[in-house]
Amino acid sequence: MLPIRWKVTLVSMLASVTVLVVACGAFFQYGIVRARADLGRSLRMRAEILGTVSGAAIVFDDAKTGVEILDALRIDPRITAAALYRADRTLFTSLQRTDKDVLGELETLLPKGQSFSGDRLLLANPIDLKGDRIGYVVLASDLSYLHDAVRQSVAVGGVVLACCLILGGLLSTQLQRVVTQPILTLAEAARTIARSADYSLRVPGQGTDELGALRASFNEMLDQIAHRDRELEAARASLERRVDERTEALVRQTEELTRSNADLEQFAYVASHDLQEPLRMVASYTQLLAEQTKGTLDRDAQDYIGFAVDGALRMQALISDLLAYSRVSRAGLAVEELVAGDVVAHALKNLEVAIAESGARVTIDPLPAVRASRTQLLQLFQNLIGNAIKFRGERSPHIQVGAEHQDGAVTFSVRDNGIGFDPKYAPKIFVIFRRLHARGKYPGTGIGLAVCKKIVEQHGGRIWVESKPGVGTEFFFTIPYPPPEAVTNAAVANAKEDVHVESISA
Amino acid sequence: MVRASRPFARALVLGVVLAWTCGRSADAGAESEQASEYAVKAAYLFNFARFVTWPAGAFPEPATPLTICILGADPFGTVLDGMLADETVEGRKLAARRLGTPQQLDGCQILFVNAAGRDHEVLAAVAERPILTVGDAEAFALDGGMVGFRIDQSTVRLTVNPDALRRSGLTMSSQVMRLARIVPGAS
Repeated sequence: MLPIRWKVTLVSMLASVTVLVVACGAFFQYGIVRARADLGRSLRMRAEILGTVSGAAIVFDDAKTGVEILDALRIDPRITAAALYRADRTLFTSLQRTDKDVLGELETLLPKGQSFSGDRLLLANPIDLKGDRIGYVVLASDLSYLHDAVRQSVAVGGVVLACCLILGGLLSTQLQRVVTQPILTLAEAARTIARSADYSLRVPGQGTDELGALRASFNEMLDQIAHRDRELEAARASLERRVDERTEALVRQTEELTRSNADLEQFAYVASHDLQEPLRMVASYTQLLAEQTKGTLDRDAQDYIGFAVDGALRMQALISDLLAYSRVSRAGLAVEELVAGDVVAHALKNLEVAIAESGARVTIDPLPAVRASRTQLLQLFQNLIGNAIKFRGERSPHIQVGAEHQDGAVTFSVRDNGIGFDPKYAPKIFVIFRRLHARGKYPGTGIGLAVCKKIVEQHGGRIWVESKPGVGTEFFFTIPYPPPEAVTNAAVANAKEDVHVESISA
Repeated sequence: MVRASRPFARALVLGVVLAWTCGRSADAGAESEQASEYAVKAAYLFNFARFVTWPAGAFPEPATPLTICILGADPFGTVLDGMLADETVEGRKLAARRLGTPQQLDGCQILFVNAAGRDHEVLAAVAERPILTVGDAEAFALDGGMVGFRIDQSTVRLTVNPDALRRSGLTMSSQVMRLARIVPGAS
């Protein structure tokens, strides 16, 4: 592909050369035509003059005078043949140097004619006097001088043309700059900008023609790009700032929460632990009192002591459960790869007395592997299955344990055909110490499901329930598998004594 | 034009060729020589019509033929008449007439004088009239005639007296003057 400079130069040169050649050719052609016409005219004029002068010589048969007249042509070396003819076309006289062949050719032109033949112009002209034809004059003029002139002109013209070509070439090379320079500048700038991605550069130059407009548009585009770049940069900076702020806030919050959580748990544990001691005293001494006063006090007094013992024992149970509850999160979450089936089997073993007593039938679907804390998962299943056995109706309990793996988590289910409950109480039953039934009807402190919820949430899952009174209940809980990072982090954190928050990575 | 001049041309060619041959041959018959000589002279008379300009009054009418008159013995015979027959000069026909006396000059444009010894008489009669006077000898021109024939190397040549021409108001073409021997006019 020719560079643009060459193209422009060649194009303008081609145009000028073509024009020159055509013009030269035209003028040349015109020149030749004119020269011939002029020659013909001038020769005819001479023939006319000769005729008027020689008429009498022909008529009065004065050959000597005729020759004298023709001899005047001697001084013009271009006249190669001249002759006078009588009216009957017989030869009267001719110039000495005329050769016969030429005369023959000339005679073919009589009575009047002109012919450019080869290197000669042949001419025949009649001589008339007072309306009568008295003879003819014929002339032949050598054209070689004309042809020489033509050849010379061509040579000169060729030289001139060559010089013009060179001049034109030089001019073109210089002048093409006017057009190509702006284009090349623009191209160069575009290349530089594309290569260096430096959008602060602009294409220099003035000019209001199309090239100027192109350059202006290009610069405008660069302005827009630079502007957009700046905006993007500003937006990015602002975004980064906001992310940093949020992250900081989040980190602070998390720190606080974790701290507060730890505090609370510490408090719960300590409280229940410390509460246990005095409570044990109350319980044991009231029990002793009950035994000691077994026959000595009246009915009411014995009842009162009985209530006190009852209360104390109940409180012990509550505190014990609270302790257990707080332990759920306090204990290190040693996560391992488990086969859920094994854990359920273990739970059933722990409940074998209750199962035997209730005649419960437990079916276990194939359960997948999960990553969880063995002890807590055991606790979880034990609570749920235990509840299922406890809250049975008239018929013997049938419990189904199943699992489904979906959306990056395993959803376990424990279904029973027990008494069920009104679904509107569903949220309440997971609240600590909340019970739906009277104390006497079904035993328990109401902490079982709260513990289950805590365990599930610690594993990063979710627990919920569906139930229909008189039909049965189904508990669902999810264990993310693989588990989310929070679980892993919490595990790491709780393993240590202090609470130390890792930065939350994405 | 070409067709019209053919008889004349033929006559001229004949005349010239004969003149040359006669000139070259040693023993040409005097009679034939003479006959061809006068044929040439007749042609010359006819051609004077072309090379001489008569004044406006010389012709009474445009249609008037140009008349060649012969005074004295007629040496031409039918040759002249034949030559003039179908010819025109400037649209005028040509005619030949034989005169007995100089008094019959009216209507002549060209007068050929063949009366030996009577030249002066004739020239006096013609004086200053627009008639071209032609004589058969050079002496004629010397005596005051306008044109005189002479023989030079077997060729008919002219002797011209320009004064005589001038006096009669006639103009002769310089072309002819060039061919002719010029003689001064007699006073």
